[in-house]
Amino acid sequence: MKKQNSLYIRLMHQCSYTKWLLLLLTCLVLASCKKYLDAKPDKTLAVPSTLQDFQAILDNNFLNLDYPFAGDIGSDDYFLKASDLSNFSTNDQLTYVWGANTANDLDWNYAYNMVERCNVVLDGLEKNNVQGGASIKGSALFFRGYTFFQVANVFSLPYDAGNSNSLPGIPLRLSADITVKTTRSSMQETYQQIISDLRSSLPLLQVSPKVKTRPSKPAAYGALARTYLAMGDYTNANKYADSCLQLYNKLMDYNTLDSTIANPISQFNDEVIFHATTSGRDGVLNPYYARVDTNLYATYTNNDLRKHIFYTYADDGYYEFKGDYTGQSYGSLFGGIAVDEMLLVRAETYARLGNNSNAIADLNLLLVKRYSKSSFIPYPENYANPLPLILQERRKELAFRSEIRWSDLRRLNKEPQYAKTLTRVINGQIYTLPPNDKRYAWLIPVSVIQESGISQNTR
Amino acid sequence: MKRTIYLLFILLLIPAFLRAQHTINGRVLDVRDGSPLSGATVKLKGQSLSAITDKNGGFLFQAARLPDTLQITYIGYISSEVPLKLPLKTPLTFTLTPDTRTLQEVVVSTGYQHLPRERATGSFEQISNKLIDREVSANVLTRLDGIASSILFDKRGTGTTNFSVRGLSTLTSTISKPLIILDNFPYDGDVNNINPNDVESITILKDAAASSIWGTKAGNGVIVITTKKGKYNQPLAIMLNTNFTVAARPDLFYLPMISSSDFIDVEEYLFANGNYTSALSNRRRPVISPVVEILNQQKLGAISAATATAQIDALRKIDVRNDFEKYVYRQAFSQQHNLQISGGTNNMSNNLSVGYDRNLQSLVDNQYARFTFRNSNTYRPVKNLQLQTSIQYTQSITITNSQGGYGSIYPGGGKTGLYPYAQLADASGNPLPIAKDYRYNYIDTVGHGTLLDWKYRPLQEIQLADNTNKLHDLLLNAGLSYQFTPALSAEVRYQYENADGNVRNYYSPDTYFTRNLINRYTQVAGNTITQIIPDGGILDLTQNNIKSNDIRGQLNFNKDWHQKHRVNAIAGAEITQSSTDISKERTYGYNSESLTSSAVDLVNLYPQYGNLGVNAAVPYVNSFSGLLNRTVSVYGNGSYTYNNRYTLSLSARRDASNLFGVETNRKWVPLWSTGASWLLSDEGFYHIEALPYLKLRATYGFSGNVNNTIPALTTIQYNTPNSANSITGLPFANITNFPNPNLRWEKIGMFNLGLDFGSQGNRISGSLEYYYKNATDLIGLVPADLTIGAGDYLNENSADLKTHGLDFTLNTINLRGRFNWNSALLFSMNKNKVAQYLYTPSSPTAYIGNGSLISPIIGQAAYEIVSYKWAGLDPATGNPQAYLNGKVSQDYNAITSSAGFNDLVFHGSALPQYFGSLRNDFEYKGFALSVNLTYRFDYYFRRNALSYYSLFNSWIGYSEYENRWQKPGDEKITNVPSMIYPANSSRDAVYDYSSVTVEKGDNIRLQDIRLSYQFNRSNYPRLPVKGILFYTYANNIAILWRANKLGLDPDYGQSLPAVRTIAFGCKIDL
Repeated sequence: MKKQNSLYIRLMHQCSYTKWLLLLLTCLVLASCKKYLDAKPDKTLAVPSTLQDFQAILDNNFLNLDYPFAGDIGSDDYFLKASDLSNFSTNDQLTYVWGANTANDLDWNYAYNMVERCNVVLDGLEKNNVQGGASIKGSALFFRGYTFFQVANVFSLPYDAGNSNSLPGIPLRLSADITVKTTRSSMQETYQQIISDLRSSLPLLQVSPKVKTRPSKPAAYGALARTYLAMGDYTNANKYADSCLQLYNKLMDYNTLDSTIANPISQFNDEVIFHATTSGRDGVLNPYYARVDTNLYATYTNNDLRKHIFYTYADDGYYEFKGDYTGQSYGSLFGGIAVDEMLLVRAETYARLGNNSNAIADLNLLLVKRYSKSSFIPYPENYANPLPLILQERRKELAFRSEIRWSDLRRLNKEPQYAKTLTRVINGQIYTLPPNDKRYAWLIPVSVIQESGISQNTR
Repeated sequence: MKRTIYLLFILLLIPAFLRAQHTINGRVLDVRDGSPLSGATVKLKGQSLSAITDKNGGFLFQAARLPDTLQITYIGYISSEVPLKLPLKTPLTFTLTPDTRTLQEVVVSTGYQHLPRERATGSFEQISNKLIDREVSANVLTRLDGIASSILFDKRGTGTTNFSVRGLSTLTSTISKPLIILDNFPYDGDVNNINPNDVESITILKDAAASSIWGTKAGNGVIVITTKKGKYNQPLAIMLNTNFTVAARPDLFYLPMISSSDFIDVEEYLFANGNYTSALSNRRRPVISPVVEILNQQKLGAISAATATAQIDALRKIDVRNDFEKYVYRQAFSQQHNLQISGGTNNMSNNLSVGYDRNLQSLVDNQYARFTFRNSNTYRPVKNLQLQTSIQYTQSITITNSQGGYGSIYPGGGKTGLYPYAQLADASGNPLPIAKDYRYNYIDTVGHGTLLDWKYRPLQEIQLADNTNKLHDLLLNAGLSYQFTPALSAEVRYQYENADGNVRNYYSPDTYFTRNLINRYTQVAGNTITQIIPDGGILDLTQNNIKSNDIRGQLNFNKDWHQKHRVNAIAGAEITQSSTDISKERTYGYNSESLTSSAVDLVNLYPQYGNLGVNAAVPYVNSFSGLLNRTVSVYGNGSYTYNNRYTLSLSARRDASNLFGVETNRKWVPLWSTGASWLLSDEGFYHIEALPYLKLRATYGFSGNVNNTIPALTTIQYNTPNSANSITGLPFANITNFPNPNLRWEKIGMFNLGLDFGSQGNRISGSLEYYYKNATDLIGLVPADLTIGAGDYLNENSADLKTHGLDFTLNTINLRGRFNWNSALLFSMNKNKVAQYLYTPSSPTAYIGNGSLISPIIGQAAYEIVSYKWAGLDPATGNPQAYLNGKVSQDYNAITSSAGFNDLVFHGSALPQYFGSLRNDFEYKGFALSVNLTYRFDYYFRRNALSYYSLFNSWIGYSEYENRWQKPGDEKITNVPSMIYPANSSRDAVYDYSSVTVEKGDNIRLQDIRLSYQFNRSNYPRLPVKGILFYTYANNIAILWRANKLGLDPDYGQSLPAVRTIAFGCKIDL
């Protein structure tokens, strides 16, 4: 602009006033110099390009608080009274009985929105050639892999090593470009991608980040352990659970918790390795109505502190769940990774790999913090066939932990001795979900099938 | 601010130092009554100097030499030539005799130029000062209702003035507002800051030729408000206008709500069905109504059946609407005072206006007060140089202490209606509590003294509330123009606006808001009570500031060659910048007496008292935002007239902006228009004696519409972490937009064909216009693959909207003489149709609604009302029936999810497609009476209809409950379905959104009457002032005819109609 001004001054003396005015007008036009129009229209807006921007995208708790809960709806942790069920919408009522044509659009919507956020960060880091963002890249990879696992757990059939190349998995979106067409990968590709995302994140992540909503190295080990367990790869599951516990292994002693208060367990407590929750507890999972499965409740002995810390009497003869690791009894379900789960994964895989004494040692390590101090007698090291015991304790410890029961049902159904037919009874009518039923993969939203043309889960 | 005041002084003082010489000034008057003729051309023949007379008929220019001959021409009058020689005695006065062959000239303003409507090809409509002043109100734009053709007010929303010029041009309602220009520049501030007394005229730019000079801002039409200016050589005039308006209380019984007795019957029915069992034992303590508490007490044996019945029967007689009318509403009362002082010498003129308005609104304790000051100055310091300055300052205060009217006060927790037997006050007027947020019996006793009172008393809240919004708005405007040659002039204009808003909401310690928050966060551990939120009040302060700077340079060219060729052209460029800064902060533990506050823990999560909610941190609401809009534009506009008969016009504009918006923002896409006019009556072959004036106009062109909120790039938005959106307290960002490089501006092409006509002596005059508008590239949502991760829908340029319409204006002089009778008929037709939309929902049932939202359906109006085709009630069960695949069905889930096009009824537009008014003005001696009838035809609205689901769950029910089907045979006399338990929301929807709940909107109403009497010195010689006008004005008088038989006001849809008002005032000419 300065240069232009001096030009005008010189010209001014030479030109008639008319021309000068024309030049003034031109100046006004030239004032549109790019800089003027490059100002940000909204100070809170940015086109993401810096480490701070990408970290801020990942620090959005959307990436922690919006995991699917269709599996929890399908699980046998809870039941509804028929009188309460009538309050729900038709779709909700159908989801309760594993109806063939139920919709869980929200789970899909939120999960892939999280994936897109991760892709925006991963693409952005690459495109802007930002340096020093290892943990940010690792976090994005972790979130994506973790989300893919949650989606696979709800929207594709249980992992089947023998047929994993022919069975459908889930769409794997690996780019932020919204014009890329969605395709459905095979089950093998899906689990490969989950493992590859999580493994790639390992060297990039910190061991103990500032907050538990940020992914960490133990969290990535934990997610890998959980994935391998679902795949039936006990060696790897054992290895990663162990790696996780090597880095982080704090346990809460339930003897120190106050079971009389509304929320005996707090958010970000010592056992939490990675904090995540479901997007809600809506529909039939609504905590106003969902009651603890009476068979499940009956498995806790009176000296089991979990009986009092996890559950509370609901005035109608049944019990409500209040022991959520989210620190809230009426919020969402905890869907993150905690030390107790890792101990149980390691115990189970030790047992499955034949190392019974290590299995029992891990179990005792956990249970001594779960039973009333004076009453607990550790299981002997030479305890025969500890697997059913460990699975039973796993069932009790991880009840209402998002997607874990659903995932366990899916994998254990493949072993006849642990397979279970789920039933719901409404006004005398019985609905069942037999083992290995096709309904263990919920329907992909109809709109997705319409818009993308990918194949629907069969019924 | 200091700098601003300094600048002000300079602007005011400049003219005092400047002097003009060799001035010829005077006035041009109508020979018949001496009324001034504005817009006449006054020309010195020997020197090619000319001027156009102003509104007072005044003119002024500098003559280089005398003698000369002065030629005065004015369309509709016989030209006159007068020799001028020295010494000259100014001011001169000339009179012109009307030429009965032609019409009077009107000067219209586009914001860039003033031009005689005669010479324009475009469609302009000017609303004169007299018409604007007809109504009494504080808002200038609402005064256009019923007096301007093509303008339609949509009154269905509440509290906002939504109107459109020639209908809709976009499918995005947030960008559907017309552009408002104040004198020269777009007005960013609140239209309420403009005092209607300061407005001289309003010009509506209707077609592309008229509005495309405003480019991408003009897509929805443009309204140019021209303020009053002083005139040269005008003696000092002082005008005082004062008036008072009283409004009726709203009639709440207009709303067809369910009676208390019926509501109680429903509650008893639900209680018997066990509907409340869950809620009564729920430890989250949901709201329970008083009747259900009584029934529960009876069931538990705490009270006898007789006591319960007696208590309930007492409640049956109560209708809470009586309390609302008595305590929450009042007669609104407004007053308006305005002083105008104007005058001018031969080289300067001034207009000063001071106004004060105060409105006590119909909701008790809501009021609005406004002070306005406006000063505009015109100076001609030296020959050919003119400086215009104006200052407008507005200060207003809005107090909103009312907790809202009927329908806004309700228990919450899903109960969005108030049980009709609620009581707001006892017999002596003391505030009574109603159930709010939690079960009343619980909060009544909980805490045992450790908590604050937890009851909600709506009337007490009105007294305690302290909500004010103070606004200061300063607008400075300066323009400098220089006449280089008689043909060429240049001007530079600048406008500065600075508006400050301060919203203060103080929740004193006694308010429910504060008590509830403190109680919720009170922690109980054994005997220890800890308060997380400190005692004292809560103070929310919101500050917003708008600053805008506009600068423009423009060249004007006007030349006549041999009275045959006339060229009129402008070209210019402008730069604008507008910034908005908003900050909001909250203080806890605020003490308004000692001005102290307390620190509060905003980070940690706390359990809610009694586990009434999920653990949460203390609400943190502080936020900041800063917006900045910059645009750079160049524009040009020219017209060529041959022989005063043929005119051709051309207009073009290019814009660029800093908005992230669509990619084309950065490109200089030109928008253009062209037009032609033909003064047919001037042709030699034209011999229609009855119509001595006939002109044809045709224009075509484009304007645009920008949606600033939809960027083409990936953008993120930073958020302030608070307990509601962040569990870690770390700063975080949301992805607000995914990249879409294909987004374009919306583009509106418009064709306009106009015919202006006038009869002998202008007894009959008017215009007829036909237009066709094709809005293309409209941004609409199209469904997206959820897997993309950008949600269900993406914004795309996906729709086209075609509109055609007619605007017809007819003015007649029916009687002239001692008794004058004039009529003005306005008729507008506006029909639109969605021509293209890239999205079709899986089932057309998605379109079902009440037409309040734009729902693009190919082949239908933008605000189409769509219903299920009603098939009556089932004679055996009273179940509603509609069609599914052409057959009568009761499968409500299937009907609501998959009814096909043939199962639905497309009624038509929810906005009138034909509308207008008929105004009759009578004058006899000093009396003037003006009566305006308005009409609106060809539209539909959906009335309120009973839904058992919302009656049971939200407590909203309608009186048609008493007409519900109860026994076989009832289906012959009613359409209201039978009551079933549990309610089925789909079953309710089939009835609520069926074709039987849609009514025709057509109506004719007596909108308003104005009666005035003028005292003048001529008829009252002893009058102490020059003149006094007494007037009274009544508005919203009555609906004379309506198509619906239910007595509903279709323009207000499902809400309360506007109340009748009556105003008294006087205008004193000192």
